[in-house]
Amino acid sequence: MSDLAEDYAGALEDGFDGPVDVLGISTGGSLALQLAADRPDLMRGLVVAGAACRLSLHGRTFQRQTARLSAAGDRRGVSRMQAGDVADSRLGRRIAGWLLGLAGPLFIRRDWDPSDMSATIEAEDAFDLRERLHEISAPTLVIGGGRDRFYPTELFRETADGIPNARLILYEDRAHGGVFVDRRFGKDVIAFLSSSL
Amino acid sequence: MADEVEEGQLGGGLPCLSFGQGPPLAVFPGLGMTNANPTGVQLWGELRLLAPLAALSLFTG
Repeated sequence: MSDLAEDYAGALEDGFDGPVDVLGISTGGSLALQLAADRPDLMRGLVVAGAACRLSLHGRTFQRQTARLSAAGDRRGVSRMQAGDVADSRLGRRIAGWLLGLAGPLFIRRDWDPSDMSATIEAEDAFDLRERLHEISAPTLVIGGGRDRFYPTELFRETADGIPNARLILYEDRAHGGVFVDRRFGKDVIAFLSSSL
Repeated sequence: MADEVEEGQLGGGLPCLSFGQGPPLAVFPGLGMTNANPTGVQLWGELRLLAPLAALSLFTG
């Protein structure tokens, strides 16, 4: 994850005149936390949504299975796997699984090269920033879902508690994918970045 | 919003989409199928996800 963060550090240095606000979503949140610890000089404020200082066992198992299906070229399988975490209800997950399995070949090209995704999964599998959270100096907002299986609530709390200037907002009724489409999400991000920095 | 999206690169050749107006916000997205800019349904999904933040200038790579 440090290697990926270094690439993004170069991009931020070249793309912006000074420290910038960063929003990291899911895997992007892991990357943002790593960058915040490695290069605090680049970050003005940080919002980490649907991510924490490490993945749960469910999250790591899910991602390894995704990598296996990807390597086997199973586009329907890769797509269908997302269903368990995009919907908040059991019925929603069942419908999503059917639709995603059907739609997989439509939005994953036959000649898709999964190497980028596999490399990112491998990086996140080893990601564990618990010992370095105290090095993050940017004011930080962690937003998590109370039904997130990738990041159970205790991981969101551990992350927010470990960062010196951080607070946590939990959407109790939301699974992983539900956090980002919640109507509170945009308002909470903008309110934090505009008022607390 | 899709009409206002600009496709480009940040330093080091990192693919980037930019849109919105206001103070800049760098967005690190979730796990994608590739590291390239999304297209088609995936682009639509990403823009829909980030639409509530369009009061900021978003750079998503």
